[in-house]
Amino acid sequence: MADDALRAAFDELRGRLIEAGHLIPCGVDGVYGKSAEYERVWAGVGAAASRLAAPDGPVLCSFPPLLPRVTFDKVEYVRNFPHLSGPMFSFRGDDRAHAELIRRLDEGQPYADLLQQTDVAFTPACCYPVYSTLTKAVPPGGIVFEHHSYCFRHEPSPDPMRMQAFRMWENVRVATPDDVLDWRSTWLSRFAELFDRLGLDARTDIASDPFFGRAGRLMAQGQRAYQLKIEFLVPVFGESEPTACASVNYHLSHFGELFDIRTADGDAAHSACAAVGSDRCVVALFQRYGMETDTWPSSVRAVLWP
Amino acid sequence: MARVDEIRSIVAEYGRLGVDVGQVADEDSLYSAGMTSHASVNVMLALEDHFDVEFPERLLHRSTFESILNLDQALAELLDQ
Repeated sequence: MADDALRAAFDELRGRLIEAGHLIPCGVDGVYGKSAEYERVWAGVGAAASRLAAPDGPVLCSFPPLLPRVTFDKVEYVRNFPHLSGPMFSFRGDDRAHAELIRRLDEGQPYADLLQQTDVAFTPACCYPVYSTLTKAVPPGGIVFEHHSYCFRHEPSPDPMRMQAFRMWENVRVATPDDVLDWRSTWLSRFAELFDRLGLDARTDIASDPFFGRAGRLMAQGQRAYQLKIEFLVPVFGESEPTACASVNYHLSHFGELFDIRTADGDAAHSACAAVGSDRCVVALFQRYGMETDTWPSSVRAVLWP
Repeated sequence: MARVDEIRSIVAEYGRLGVDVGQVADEDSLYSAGMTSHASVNVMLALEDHFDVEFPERLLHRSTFESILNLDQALAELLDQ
């Protein structure tokens, strides 16, 4: 699809979501308030994913959408994705600096140079907070975590499927390589079933993360070569421009080594995550079935609200 | 120092191989020897600094960094220009 046609498709869908009151614009691309009905669909998507996860007995946990800076740096987010990152800055100056800050604000001048980096950053993916809590051994048989939280990525876009502040539902498995690979296969089947039941026409593809720059091209090729990321792509804006609405990611021993997480036999644990872009699923459902959930197919409603 | 030895020395320092670089033949896979994608990026940047070249887009492929031999061939091409 040509850029102009794609932009028109973004504007058309976003316009309908805003007109229906499901998205409430905040003045910045990709940051929206949501209607109660939108939130009801969003909760239904998360609950449907949680029902699929239930046989694994995941440990439910909740983290705020902030990462300690030490963790943010340890997972090399700024190194790999500086353009998407959200390190947080605040003011730590004295009265003189405060006066300068006020002068700049009054004159509409930039003031970023008067701020300093804090000890936190916005969470770019909701599995990151989990690993630092797992340092040392995981129990025999490994462990599964489940969480659902807001994330932030700095990618302002008119595409309503691509928000800067968005929610991600995730299960994370940390165990031996065999256990993690079996679990990954299970989730490929579970997501296929979920999207099939939601009627969202998802197809899978081997994918890579949006690493930055020239170095990123090598990183992305490595990720594809090992088939570490498999996405479920939904054709919200046509078959040629599908959007990832879920993914299954295998990290090998990357996080196990980084956070010194060991399996019962003392080896670095392997990990994988099964992630649903829950806000993306909501927008895809509104696009597919219309702005009134009352008129959605009963089969879809039964998945969301059994 | 021959160019291939200079490459070896940079691979030894930045490639984070799981084995001694002396055990890796010029044509052996560096990835099989334990070099990660992260490490290959560091090798690329170190080679660029050392030889004062820049790997163009068309050479930013895993195969370029697959072996010391491939790196030597890529650098031969870049240094000829």
